[in-house]
Amino acid sequence: MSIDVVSIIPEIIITCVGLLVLLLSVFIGKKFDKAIAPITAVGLAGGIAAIFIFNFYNTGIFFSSSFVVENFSNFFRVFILVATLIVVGLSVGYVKGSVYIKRNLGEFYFLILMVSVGAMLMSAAGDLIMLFISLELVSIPTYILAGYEKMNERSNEAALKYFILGILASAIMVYGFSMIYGATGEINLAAVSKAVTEGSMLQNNYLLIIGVVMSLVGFGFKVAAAPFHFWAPDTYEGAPTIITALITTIAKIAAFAGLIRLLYVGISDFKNSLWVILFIIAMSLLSAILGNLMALPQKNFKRLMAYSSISHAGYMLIGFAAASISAQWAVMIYLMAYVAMNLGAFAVAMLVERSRKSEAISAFAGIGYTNPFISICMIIFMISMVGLPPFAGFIGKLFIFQAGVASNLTWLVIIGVLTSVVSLYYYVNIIKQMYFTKYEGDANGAVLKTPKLYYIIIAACALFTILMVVIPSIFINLTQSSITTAGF
Amino acid sequence: MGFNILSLITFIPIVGMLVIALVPNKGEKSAKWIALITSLAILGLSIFLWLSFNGSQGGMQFTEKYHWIPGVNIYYHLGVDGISMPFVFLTCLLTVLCVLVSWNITNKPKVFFALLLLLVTGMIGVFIALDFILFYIFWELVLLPMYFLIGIWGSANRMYAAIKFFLFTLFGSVLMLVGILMLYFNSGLQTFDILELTKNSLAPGMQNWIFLLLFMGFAIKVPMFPFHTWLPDAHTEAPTAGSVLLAGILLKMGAYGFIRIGIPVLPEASKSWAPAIAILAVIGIIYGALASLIQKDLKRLVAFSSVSHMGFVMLGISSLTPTAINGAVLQMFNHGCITGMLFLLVGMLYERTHTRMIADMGGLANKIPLFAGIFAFTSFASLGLPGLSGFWGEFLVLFGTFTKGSVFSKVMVYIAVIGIVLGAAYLLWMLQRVIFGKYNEKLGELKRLSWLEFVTLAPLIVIIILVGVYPTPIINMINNSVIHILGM
Repeated sequence: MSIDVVSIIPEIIITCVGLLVLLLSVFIGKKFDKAIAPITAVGLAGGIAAIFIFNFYNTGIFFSSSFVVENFSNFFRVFILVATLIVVGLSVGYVKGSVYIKRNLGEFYFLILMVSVGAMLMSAAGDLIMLFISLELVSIPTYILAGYEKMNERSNEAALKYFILGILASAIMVYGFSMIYGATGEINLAAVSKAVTEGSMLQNNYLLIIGVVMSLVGFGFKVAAAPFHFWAPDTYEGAPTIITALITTIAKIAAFAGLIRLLYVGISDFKNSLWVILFIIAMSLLSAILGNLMALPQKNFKRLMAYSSISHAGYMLIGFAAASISAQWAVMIYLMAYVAMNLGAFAVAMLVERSRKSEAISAFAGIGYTNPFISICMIIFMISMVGLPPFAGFIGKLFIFQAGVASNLTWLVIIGVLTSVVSLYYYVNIIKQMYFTKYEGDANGAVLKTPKLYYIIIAACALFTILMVVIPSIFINLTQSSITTAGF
Repeated sequence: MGFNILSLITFIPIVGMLVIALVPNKGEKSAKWIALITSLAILGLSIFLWLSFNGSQGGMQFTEKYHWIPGVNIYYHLGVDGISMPFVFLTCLLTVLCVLVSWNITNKPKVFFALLLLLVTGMIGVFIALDFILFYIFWELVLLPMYFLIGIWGSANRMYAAIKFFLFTLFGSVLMLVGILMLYFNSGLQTFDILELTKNSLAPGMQNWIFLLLFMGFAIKVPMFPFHTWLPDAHTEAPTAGSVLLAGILLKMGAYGFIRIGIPVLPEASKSWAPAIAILAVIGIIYGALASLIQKDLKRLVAFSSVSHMGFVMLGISSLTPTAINGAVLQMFNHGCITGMLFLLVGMLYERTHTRMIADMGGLANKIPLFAGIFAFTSFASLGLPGLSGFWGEFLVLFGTFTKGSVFSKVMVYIAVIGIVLGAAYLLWMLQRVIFGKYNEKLGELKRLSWLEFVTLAPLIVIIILVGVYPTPIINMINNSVIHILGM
């Protein structure tokens, strides 16, 4: 029993830090506000250290096989904690300009930490119940966080749409899980895959197939894949920008980690299942096409990012449709590149929002000349998102497309690359605003005020994006050694 | 070689770019000097390379091969042979000339020269990369700097031209990427190395598909009819340095791709596609010439003449005989010199008259005789006057195509020869209207050719005469490598 607890020490640390921050902010009040973010950051760093100390060498299955400690979960847990650390770092500057977040700062950080705990649990989930619980733990705080700006009707709309549709998706997903249980008699993912393979259920057991498809619906919602994406534009636009950054990175990491777990560990030979692969291909096609086409007319940056994240989910789903081991680590590399580019882009957007008081793309006007360093980094992020070399986005797309071609999905890859060309237009539009449009507004907002922490974070993200192309072997070795399969 | 000369030539411009970027803002003047020193350095290195190059050997020389991403067999592999050597030299030379012709720009010179140097790295890298992914990265690297060069320093319609260029060429490039991935998996060799891929054993059907994908990438770049529509806009709206590099080098990348990759790696597909390419090439020759004939804008006339000249290159490539391909490579080199010089001259003319319209000019021979003389000289070179270099390229292409013997080739040659007559027509008529006739008094007084401008034009004049009178050394160098390629 005690050994079991050792495996979740990182999660315990993060939860305790969250509760500490919550309770102290209730009892100490406003004076505590300045200390909340540093304490959170220290807690996250402690969590990362704990993973290395306690989990790196003690791999195994704990809590009656619902919590799996292995390279895959350790990789994702560190990844999630680093991403959360960056989000917390960005939030420091952001909350200064907000009204409602400032009033309830303790709860804000507590909820963010709960999201990251949920994400960590998801990546280590060993059975269906754990998958569902951790998914809810990721989702419910994000519903609340999306609606944090109480008097802003956009924020309320965002939270409500996300909540209602999210609950519906979770319900469908857990119904799917129950069908999987009904078909196999097991909830443990490894045992499920054993039952599925032995009974060749993917070919003839329709209860199982429908169950898997329904769980895919739930996960599709979470990663904002079409046709389950309808919540994304409004939620991304309405939520406070720091929460949009959280949803687009951490919630997506969690959902993809969970999906890898379900498909590769739970239904290990899903590449032989026609229905499942067809469903994933359909999601990926729709996401890539719809996401890119609907992004073209967007005028609000956050809404644009929502559609762009839909299209990125589409590309990553090509990796899932390829259903091979190389596809799995390709998805992980793409996720790393995706999170770095997105956090950087949103950081720049938060700077623009703060100084220019607008979320519109036209608010980016003239930044190329007022803030040259930030704009060069933004060029790096935007071009990386298109998938052009020499940036990380290219490496991510290269390996995903490589996996796709290897699995005879060349036609899908061709559609993927053609939609990437479409995406060039709207990403370059932002560059156009930065360099080719004059800023006609309040002289006060001409030069973006940039806190030092933002410089560091944006520079780090840009550096990471370039590093992934210069020395990709490190990342490839990392992800290749972190893959998960049913036979552990 | 004691040192890796090819890597040096490729990456010194990036070092130069970083130096320019890091020099503080007052260093607007130093930017052009740094660019000049950098480009002279690589010109010196490329001359040294040419002198050390063994022209009688057909294979790759000065090769460098390092592991880059061992997990997926991607190497950092560079090498130069008789086909790429002229272009490395030409790129370095044209870069120096572009720096000189842009010496007096006032609009953000620092950014201009930094982008120019970044462009140079991409251009040189394409010609010497021997690993397909490395080739692709350098190929894409030129897009972003060119977009900015056209978009910021271009003429009235520059935004449209810039984004059209970016989107159109990216569309071809991503299809090329899918072709590259298909080659990796289907060639049975699991390698991206261009030299090793020539030993593949692909079925003709698969070869055709892959050739189609690669064809899209190369044909749009050449540009072949009907994919040429980006070229007139991009060339016309770009600043002088941009047009020179676009016409001089970027167009050659497409044809080089056919010779380096299309023919050796996919020989059966090249044979089956050859008639189609020949027809498109000849259409391009005639169409380009006819379109030049009706142009009112001088720069647009030269742009369409590029379409026509590259048609000769593609005709030579499609003939698949050593003589014709020698002619094609020589024509590429000559076109780079001649049309590069034409754009330099048009740029110098624009600075004096502030108009590109032929109707506004006339009688320049009276006012700026030296300039008019050089302009006439270049036009004669462009129409293929024997004694100047342009003749040899076109002659060898036609000779090589005609001696193939088939009725089809003979008909192609008959039609192509009409293109030469049309070429004479549009160039001589343009000369008559621009430098002869009555002087248009509205232009005022025109500056004589300055010392700096003469120094910019002189090297190209020398090369055009030299290659026109004694082309043997360069043809021998090209020939050895072409035979080496065709022998595979």
